[in-house]
Amino acid sequence: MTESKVKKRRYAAQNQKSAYLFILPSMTILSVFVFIPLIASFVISLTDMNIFMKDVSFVGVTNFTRLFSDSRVSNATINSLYFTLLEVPLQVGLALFLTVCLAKNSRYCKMLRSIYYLPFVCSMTAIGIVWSMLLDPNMGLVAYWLKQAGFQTVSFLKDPDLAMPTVIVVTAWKGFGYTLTLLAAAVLNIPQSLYEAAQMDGAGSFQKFLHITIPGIWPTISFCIVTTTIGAMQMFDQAYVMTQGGPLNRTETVVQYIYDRGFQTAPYDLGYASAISVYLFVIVAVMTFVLRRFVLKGGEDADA
Amino acid sequence: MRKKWISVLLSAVMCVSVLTGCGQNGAGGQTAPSDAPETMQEQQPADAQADGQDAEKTASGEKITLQFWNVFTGSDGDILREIVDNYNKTNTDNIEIQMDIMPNDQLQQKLPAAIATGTAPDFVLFGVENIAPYVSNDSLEDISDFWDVTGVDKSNILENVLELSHVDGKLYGAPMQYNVSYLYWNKDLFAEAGLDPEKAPATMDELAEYAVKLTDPEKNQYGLALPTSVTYMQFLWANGGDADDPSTNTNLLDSEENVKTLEWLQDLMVNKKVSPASITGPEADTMLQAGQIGMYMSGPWQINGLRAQGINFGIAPCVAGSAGAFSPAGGCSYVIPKGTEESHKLAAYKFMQYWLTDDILKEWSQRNGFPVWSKTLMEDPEIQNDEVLSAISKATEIGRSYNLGYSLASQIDNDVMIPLFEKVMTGAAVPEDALKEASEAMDRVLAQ
Amino acid sequence: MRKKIGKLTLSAALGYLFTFLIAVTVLIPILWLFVSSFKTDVGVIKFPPRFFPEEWTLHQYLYVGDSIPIFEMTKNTVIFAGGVTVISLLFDSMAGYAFARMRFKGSRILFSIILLTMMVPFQIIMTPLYIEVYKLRLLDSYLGLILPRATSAFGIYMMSSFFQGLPKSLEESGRIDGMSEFRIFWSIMMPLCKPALVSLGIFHFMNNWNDLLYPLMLTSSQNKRTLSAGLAVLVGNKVIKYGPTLAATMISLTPLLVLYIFCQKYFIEGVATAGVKE
Repeated sequence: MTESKVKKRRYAAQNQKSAYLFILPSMTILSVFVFIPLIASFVISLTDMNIFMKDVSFVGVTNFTRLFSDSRVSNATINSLYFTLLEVPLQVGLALFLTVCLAKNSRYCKMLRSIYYLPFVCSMTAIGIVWSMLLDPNMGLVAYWLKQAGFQTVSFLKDPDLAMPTVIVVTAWKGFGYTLTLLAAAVLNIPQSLYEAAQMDGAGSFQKFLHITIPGIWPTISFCIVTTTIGAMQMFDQAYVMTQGGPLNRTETVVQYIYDRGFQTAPYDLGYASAISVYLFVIVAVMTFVLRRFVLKGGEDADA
Repeated sequence: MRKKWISVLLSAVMCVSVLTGCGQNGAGGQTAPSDAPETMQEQQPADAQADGQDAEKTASGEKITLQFWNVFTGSDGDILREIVDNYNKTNTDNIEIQMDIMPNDQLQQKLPAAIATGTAPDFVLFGVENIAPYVSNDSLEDISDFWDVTGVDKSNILENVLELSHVDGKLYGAPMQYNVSYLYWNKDLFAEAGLDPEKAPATMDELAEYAVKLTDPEKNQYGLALPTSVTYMQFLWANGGDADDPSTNTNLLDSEENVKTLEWLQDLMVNKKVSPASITGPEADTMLQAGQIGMYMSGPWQINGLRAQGINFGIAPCVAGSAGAFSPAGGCSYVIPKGTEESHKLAAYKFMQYWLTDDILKEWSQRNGFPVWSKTLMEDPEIQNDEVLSAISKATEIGRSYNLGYSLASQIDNDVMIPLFEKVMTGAAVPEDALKEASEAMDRVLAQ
Repeated sequence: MRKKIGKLTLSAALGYLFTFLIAVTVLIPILWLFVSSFKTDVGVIKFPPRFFPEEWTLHQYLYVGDSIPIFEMTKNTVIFAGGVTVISLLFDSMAGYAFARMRFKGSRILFSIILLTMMVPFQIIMTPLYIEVYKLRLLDSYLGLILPRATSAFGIYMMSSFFQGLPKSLEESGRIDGMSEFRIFWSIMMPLCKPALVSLGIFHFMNNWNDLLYPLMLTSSQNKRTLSAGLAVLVGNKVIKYGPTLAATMISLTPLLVLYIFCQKYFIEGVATAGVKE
């Protein structure tokens, strides 16, 4: 009894030591190349530094008070939230639905899964150029086809009300294949015996999906939701290529505004841009915390 | 005191890596552990040494390699590269220029950090609108001695061109190209609409009239392309209005003239629909090249594209209003980032001098369609007989500076003027309200 | 009984139809990109627009080939993206494994901190990062390009949620056999991770392959430039040249497609073996 306890404890200590060794390389690199710049940008947010980094002085929380009275910050926040709240369910939901349709290793399923993956491999710049050209209300193929078919001209990316939904659909179009591949890998990893057992208990296919598939791939679903949300809150490339934040700032996201203040509009106010990114950081951190703690509870955290 | 505190904090945070860096630093002594952003560019001891060596090298005719960054992506970059390559082959000063082209947005993000760390190139070519913000941050070399050192005849260059490279009376750039906005018109579409294909509109009223005649939604054809992501100072000026006065920091937006101009513009866009709605500059370019646009105001960079697409086009000055005709000027200049060593600065002068010879300026104008601004070159018969170049050079005379050399220029553009025009042109607000809102925004910008 | 079969086929048929329609929406823009890169300058922007070129030409590709050193830049990109992928796959999975399968003090906090690093927009840490890489004297070197990217919060998170999904009994057997933790990780767990590794590998490779700002900031000479930075030069400063842009896009896309098609095989096989094991 006591001997095995000692053994167990010694093992635990050893396990601890090797765990630290396992995370050492990653932690070192992240500390040097991510934490330090990150903390630097937190410090910069308390200064009036611009990109030339000369004559820097400490300004306290001035940048933060300015931020809360800046209507473009609130506008950008709303746009980012709007984008995230629609894009994430669309991308993950579509991927989940298609996973159910295609969670077999038949030739058809394999082929479709790889087709769906294609847009993900392309750069957002390429996707942006292609879609802007196709959707252009004056010169684009899609608009032309719609017109030929007798529909009214739809100016997808030019219409203040349609621009954001269009950006959302294009983003989901690019990303769902990746989510799908992750989910499909997870589904195919669920032991077949579980399904057979349920079959014997007389479970229908929907019940099997609900009680076996979903719990089986929950960590992956949770992962997809969290990472897609974080990515969506930092949306930049899509709008940068397709709309430049317009029309009438209706697609300007927080990161775009940060970029505009820091690098596009003189006096290139890095201090203010950093303050907005600290603000974004807090929003995303809270969202992630809430998601992981309450919404996606019971998945990955169960045994951690 | 405060500043010092910040330096210490910043250096502590950002430069933990220095400690590790020191180990690898064979040169020794160059990286002080207390490095802070302000002192980052201070590499004097090492640089001074390098200077000395370089001076010796030049004396003994050794090679000087110059790093040169620019934003000339696209086809004009190809021509620039040819000229630079040719210079590398033919110059007798043993100078080799290594050219690096990158998109403007990336350059603007990288160059300031490079200047701060002393890793900037020896000289840069960018838009003159960038000069003022760089100068106000002490990031460009004063090159007022350029004329004395190189012996280039300053009086041979048009005054308004030189003006663009000056801030507070000091020279910071050597002019490379100069342009204003021109009125392009498609002669074939003019003929189809029953207009005289050889006569461009001269007034705002004619412009509006022609635009309506040229618009045919059935054929997806528009009379006048007006992108929403730009400003239309030429219209405001034509009626005697303005945005601001940079010399006195005054807001000139809220005026009767401006209301009148903006109402005219809104009528053209919203009621007469002479332009496709909410298009960007590149989209308008494309439609012009595809022959879907009757008239369009843009810079000389359209010429090569229009020629390549076989469009039968003409170039005219921007139209006049009640107060005359004006057009916003722009251009590119060679500048030298702060911290470039003396020997390299002098070598860069040599290349700028080469650029300012009539042969090179002529080649650049002829191949790119840019107007000429060297007085001797303007007398050149070959230039005078070139239809496009003489038209464009003539249309350049009405050039006017819009906040160039003013450090608040980009903020006024991005935060006040572009939103103002966008609101008016999309019909999101009536001109009077939009103007009032813009005027308040202008006050906030100018208050800085 | 018969009714049930009928119902199943109907839903299956609907499933086929839906999945097929989605595939068409995915393929059309990419096919358009492909065929349009063979259009002439006039053909690309012609109105009314046409899907297929009226006249097929290699002109755009030749133009791109003349303008930039494609071979050199591809080599740089392969070294950069490949180096990042290989190293970060190892580091990400090691850290992910530790967080998912081992108990140690501070694991929750450290994991949360790692997640936090994903939440800052890259644009804002770029300037401090530039200064840091400069201080380390790594500017304009392959090492300086690869090292900051040699691990990623996304990868650690992804691998850890994958490891969590694996049956718990796996490493017990290894421990009973007296294997070291690294041996258990390397010989038992890693082979099961093939699908996740391939998937993450493609993710890393693709991201770094397509990245523009990062490699452009950290390299200062043309001969260290990556393909996407090189191709960005073709887009044009004032006037966008669509023909070369589309050709350039195809050029940078093709290696990724080949890689994906190649990996797809391993990907499916990996899934199959993982499924069989349990």
